[in-house]
Amino acid sequence: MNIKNKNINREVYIESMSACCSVGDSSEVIFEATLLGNSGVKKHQGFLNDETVSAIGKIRSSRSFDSLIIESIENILYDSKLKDFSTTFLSIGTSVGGMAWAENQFIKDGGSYKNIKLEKQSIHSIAHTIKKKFNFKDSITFSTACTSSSNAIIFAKELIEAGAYERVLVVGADSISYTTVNGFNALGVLSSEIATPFDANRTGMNVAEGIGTILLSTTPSEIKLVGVGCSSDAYNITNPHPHGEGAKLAMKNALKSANLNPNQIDYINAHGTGTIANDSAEGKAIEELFPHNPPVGSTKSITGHTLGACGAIELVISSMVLKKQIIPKNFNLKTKEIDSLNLLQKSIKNEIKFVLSNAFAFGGNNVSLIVQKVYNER
Amino acid sequence: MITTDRLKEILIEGLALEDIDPNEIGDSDALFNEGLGLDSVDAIELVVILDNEFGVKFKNMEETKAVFVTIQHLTDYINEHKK
Repeated sequence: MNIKNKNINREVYIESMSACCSVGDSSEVIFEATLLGNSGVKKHQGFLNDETVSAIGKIRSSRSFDSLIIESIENILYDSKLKDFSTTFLSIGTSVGGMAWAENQFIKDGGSYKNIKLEKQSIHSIAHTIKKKFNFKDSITFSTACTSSSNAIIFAKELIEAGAYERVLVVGADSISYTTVNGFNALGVLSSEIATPFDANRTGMNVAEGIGTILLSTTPSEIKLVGVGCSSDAYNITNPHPHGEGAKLAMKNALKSANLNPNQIDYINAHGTGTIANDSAEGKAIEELFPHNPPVGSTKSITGHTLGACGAIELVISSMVLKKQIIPKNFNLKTKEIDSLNLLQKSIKNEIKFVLSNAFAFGGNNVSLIVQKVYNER
Repeated sequence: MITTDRLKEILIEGLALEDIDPNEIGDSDALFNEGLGLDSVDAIELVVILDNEFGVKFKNMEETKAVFVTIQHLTDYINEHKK
C-alpha cells in the first residue's frame, strides 16, 4: 500500500453498525434494554467444573455463533448498500477465537484432539468463518483480551487516516467457552449474581458472549470516531494499577488525539466490569481526570462482559447514546462506592455531543475511544 | 392518581412536543401516527419518563405497544402500575 501520496488525517465515521449479545440482536434492542433495565445475564449451571451456579450472558438463539457473525455482517452489507466487501479491510478483535468450538469437539471425541482443526480452533477462526461467505480485501486479527475489538477499531481508524483504505469493517466477537468461565472463576472475580458495577458491595463480573460489528469509513455520517488512545500499566498480569494510572493515560491520549479538553466529554461509558479492582481503579482515574463530573455508566449489568467484543459492542451503545440523546441508567447500582462519581441511577435525556468509551484488559493494556455526534452531514 | 390532563402536560414537556396545547389533545387521541404523531424514538423516551416519574417499568418495547395506545389507556395503566 502506498501511504505517502494519499491525503493524511482523513476523518473517520461510523457508516453502519450492528450488535448481538444476550439481550438482543440489534443496536436498537440492546440500547432499549439498557433503558428498560432488562439484563441478559442469567444463572447457569454446568459451566463451572465444581458445578456451582454462575451468572452468564449467553446469547439466546438456536443458531450457531458463526451464523450470527455472518448475519451481523449481512446486516452491515444491506444497511451500507455496498455491493460487496472487495475493497474493504477486515479488522477482527477476539480473545478466544474458536476455543469454544474446539472444547466441544474435544469433549465430543471423548477427550481427543484428532478432529481439532487449526483454522477452526485458532484466534484466526473468525476470519476463516467470514471468508467462507464474504470476500474482503485483506484482514488482521487482534487478541489482546478485553481490549481486542478496541484495538481492532484503533487499527481501522489508522488505516483509513493513512489513506490505505476507504472502508474498514471491525468485527468484535467472543463466544462463551468453559475455559474462560473457569479461568475467571479461578481468579476469584466471577459473580454468581448479575454484576453491580461501581457498587460498594459488588461481587464480581459476568462472563458473556457477543458480536459487535462496525463499518468505519470516510463517508460522513451522524457519528464520527474522533479520538483513540491506548496505554500500558506495566504493573500486573491480571490486575489494573490500583490508582488507575494506565486508565487515566489512555483517556488522556484519546482526548489529545481528538483535540478535546476533559470538560467537553458529556458521558463516559466506563469499562465498569463489576470487579473490585477494575471499578475502583477506573473510578479514581475518571474522578481525577474529569473534574466537571460528567455522567458515568456501565452497561455490563445488562449485557454481561463480552470480553474481546466489548469494545465494539460498547462503541455501538455509545453511538446509540449520541443518536437518541439519552444516557442509560446504571442498572442494578444501589450504593455507590465513590460518592463523587456521577453514576446515574435514572436514565436521562440530555444534549450529548462527545462520549468517551473505555475498555481495559489483562496485562494492564487500556484503550479509550471518543465518538462525536455530527449534525447535518448526511 | 394522575389525570389525563397531567399526562398530557408530561408528554408535551418530556417529549418536547412543539406547538401543542394540552387542551388540543383529546383523552381518546392515539399517541402514535394520526394522533399525537409520536415515533419510535419518542416511545423509548416515554419509557424513560414513565420509569423516572412513576416507577412504571416494561420488560421490552413489544410490551409497550399494548399500553401506548391512547391518552386514557396510558393514564389508566400508570394509575394501576405506579409505585
